[in-house]
Amino acid sequence: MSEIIVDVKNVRKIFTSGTKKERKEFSALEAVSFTVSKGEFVSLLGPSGCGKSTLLKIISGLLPASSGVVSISETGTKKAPPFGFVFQDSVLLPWRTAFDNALFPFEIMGSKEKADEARVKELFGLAKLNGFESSYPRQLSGGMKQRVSIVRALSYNPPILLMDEPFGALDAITRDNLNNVLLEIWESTRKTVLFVTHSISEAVYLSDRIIVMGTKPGRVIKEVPVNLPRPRNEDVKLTPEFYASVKELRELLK
Amino acid sequence: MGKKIFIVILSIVFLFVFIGFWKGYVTLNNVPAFILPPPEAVAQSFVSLIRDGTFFAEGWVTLYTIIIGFGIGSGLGFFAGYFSARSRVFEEIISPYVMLIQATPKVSLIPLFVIWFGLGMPSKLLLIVLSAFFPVMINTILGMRSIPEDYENLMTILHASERSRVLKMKIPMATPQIMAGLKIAMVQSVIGAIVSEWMAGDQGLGYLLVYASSLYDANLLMSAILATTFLGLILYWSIELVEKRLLFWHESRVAFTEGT
Repeated sequence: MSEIIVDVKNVRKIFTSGTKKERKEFSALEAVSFTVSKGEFVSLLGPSGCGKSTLLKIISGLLPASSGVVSISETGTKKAPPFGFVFQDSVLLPWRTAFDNALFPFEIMGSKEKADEARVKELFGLAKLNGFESSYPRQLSGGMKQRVSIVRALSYNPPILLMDEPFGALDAITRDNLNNVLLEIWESTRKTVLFVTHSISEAVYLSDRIIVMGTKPGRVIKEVPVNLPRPRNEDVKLTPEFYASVKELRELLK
Repeated sequence: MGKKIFIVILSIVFLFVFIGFWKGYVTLNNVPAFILPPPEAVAQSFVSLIRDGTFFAEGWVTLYTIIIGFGIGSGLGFFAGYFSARSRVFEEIISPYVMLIQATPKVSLIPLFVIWFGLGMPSKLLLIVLSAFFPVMINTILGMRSIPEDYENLMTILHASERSRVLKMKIPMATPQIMAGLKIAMVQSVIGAIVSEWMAGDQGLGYLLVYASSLYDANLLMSAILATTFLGLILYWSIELVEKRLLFWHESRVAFTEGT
């Protein structure tokens, strides 16, 4: 558990806006540093505006950092990135069936990456999507669409999974369900996960470690380990340890 | 289901009531046939014009003019829209001219085209091309611009080439708006074709309309109007058919096929 896979060092992000005369600078992230080890489930927890999504975009290479370094020690293959990315919306292509959506990355990466249909089928089972392979996105509920989106992110077997508030747009019951599905997938694939959320209980339930972030400027307040036993199920939410973690985090975020 | 049949029956009844009023009005008021012929005379003339091949000959001229003009115009409109959506600079350079041409009623250009190109195909085509160009261009821009950012992010993360980004994501995502543009363009193209045939045509359904009018042949005129309507309908339906095929996944389609 000690091999460091994602290493974030002194990452700053400054957004500039306004005209040339009146440049306004806004510091979204102030000297953020942390690491994620192999197979670890780490959450970035904070209120909106703390730059947690910006940070995830910088780690995935979607945004450049103003200064600082992100190093990912997994290389992935030549064409495939070392990570899969799950967005807040499912971002499925509406003209493709669920299964074809999950295979989409192979098509984009070119013919050299052979589509691993067996693997995608297995992931469909893990995500409890059996029987919905040929459904179109509009025929699926929000929660199911998001599960397809997780399967798509894992289809090419990347070592890392980056998730940007993936369940933020779902209702509480669906969200609990998807938390359990995600835990099951994680237990059987043991990916390194970096999970962005603003839900304290979700972060505690899922994570090995929580990186608590604050606003103005966006920064890391504290890293909090979660020492709840694995594998976890809903019962863990009733334990005093769970409550203690939630309470500690709530205090930190005040 | 019962409701559907009721609606169909009612609209057929409405048609007969309309024809009945027409017949009654003409007979009771002794309206001269060169102003408003009775319905059966129009129907007779319509059938005979189909039989002697006039409609097919003239309609064919109008049809292929529309198809060529619509094809060129919407093709150019698509590319102009595509490049405008990609590049703000390109859009800003061409947008004043686009606005200028768009604000000009295209029909007002025909006399000029007649001076430049004379009567016939080139003048007609140019008007149809202009009519089809703008709706497609504007809707293509709209479609490309309304793609949510995360779709772009997804393609970036997957190291998509520019080619697959455009072909596998952008164009399909923009298809609902592009199809809406094509439908407007088709309607405009039919109007453009008929109007240009009035002024610059020596054949075609539009020409037949003016010819009939100059002869005070109301039977021919009304039959020609009917033929124009059918031509417009057929063209519009073909576009709708294409849309149905391409957009089977879109909400607007779902409402049609799954709604009751």
